[in-house]
Amino acid sequence: MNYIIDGLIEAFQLLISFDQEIYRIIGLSIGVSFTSTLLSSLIGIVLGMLIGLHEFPFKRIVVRCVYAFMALPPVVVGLFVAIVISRRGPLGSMGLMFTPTAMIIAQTILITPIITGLIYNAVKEHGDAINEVALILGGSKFDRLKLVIVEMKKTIAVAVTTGFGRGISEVGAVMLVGGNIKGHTRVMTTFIAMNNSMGNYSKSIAMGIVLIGIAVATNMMIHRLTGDDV
Amino acid sequence: MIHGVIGANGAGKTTLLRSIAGLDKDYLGEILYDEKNYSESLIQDITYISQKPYMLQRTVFENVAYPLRVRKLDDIENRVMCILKQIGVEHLKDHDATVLSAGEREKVSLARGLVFNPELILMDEPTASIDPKSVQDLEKIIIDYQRTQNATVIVVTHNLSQALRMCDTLSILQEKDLHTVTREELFESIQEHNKMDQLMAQDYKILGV
Repeated sequence: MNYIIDGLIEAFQLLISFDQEIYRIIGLSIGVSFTSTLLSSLIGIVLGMLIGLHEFPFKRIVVRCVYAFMALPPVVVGLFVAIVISRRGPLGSMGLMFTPTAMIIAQTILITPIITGLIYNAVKEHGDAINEVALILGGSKFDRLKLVIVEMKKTIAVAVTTGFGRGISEVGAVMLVGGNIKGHTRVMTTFIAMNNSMGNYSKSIAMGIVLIGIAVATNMMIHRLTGDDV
Repeated sequence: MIHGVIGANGAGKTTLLRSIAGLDKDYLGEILYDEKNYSESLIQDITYISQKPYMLQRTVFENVAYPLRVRKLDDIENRVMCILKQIGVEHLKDHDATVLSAGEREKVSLARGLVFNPELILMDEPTASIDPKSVQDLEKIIIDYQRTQNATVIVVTHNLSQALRMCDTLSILQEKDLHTVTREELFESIQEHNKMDQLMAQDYKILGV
């Protein structure tokens, strides 16, 4: 119990200490997760809507793949990305290994199917009805797409929040492709994992509390932006 | 004119209306509007009021204003308030449309469908969930609208009495065949058998189809 209380005290001390390393870690975590969530949202929302609103050959297989990829093991994704961007890999010449860019790539691969799947499910249920209302009331193709997005904004918010949560809590993939290098690719989750394995439980708990705080704050902000009063 | 379409469940009445509205395109043959094939520009003059209308996630006012906004028409406030008063739902204008009762949704859907003065109105059981007093009021609104705007109204209904009150002509859809009767023929059939209460159970037999 003592180390939990110590963790709480250390969390507060971490934040007011203005320790450059700690702020760099927090900043990098937010930056990597935010960027990967943004990229995943752009791809996932469009894909989810296209799959949900249209019929096309092999749609069933595509949907099954989306659902399957929602449960991709993160460390396997990390391994796959590491193989591709390592010096001996096809993209080795780009020098991406052990960089924040590699972490963004890995997180984007993980988050995109989640957002796509959630959006597809919602659009499958209501997308046609919304599209038809817009069509029959005189909306152009652009009006119809805009209405579907506006009507689905709470679903989009949930999907984006879920995606961000997935990204910011990711350990395995970012450890493999980022390397947890101090001052360069160390993020909150790899910091927690490292300190836990070293027996520094207070530091792990402290950073964990900060991580939860950021996740909750981001969630509230996204839902506030969509006008959700709940 | 007001044309009624009646038929058993599953006969294809809704599919017929949706095909005319351009929402279902999986049919053989042609549907002509003033001798022209359907195009998306025609939708500006058509309204389709479905059985279970989808309410946009906004107020009643904004739901009814939506067709005016996408058509970039002006005087939105006055036009919306006018139609809301006509239908008798002006007291709901600031309510969240997604939490209305089924009857209120149908009234708001009707207001939304008429606010831009369409020439062709397609209604799929527009008064199915509405109380009897409001049914009479709405029937009067639809009839008055048709007369003043010289619009064409096609209404699907299970209620033969309503069909008799509202419709100038009737079609019966049965086994993919459309059989047209006049109001007088319908009235004579009902009178002859004098089985108003049993119409819902034996209506097609009564009509001799």
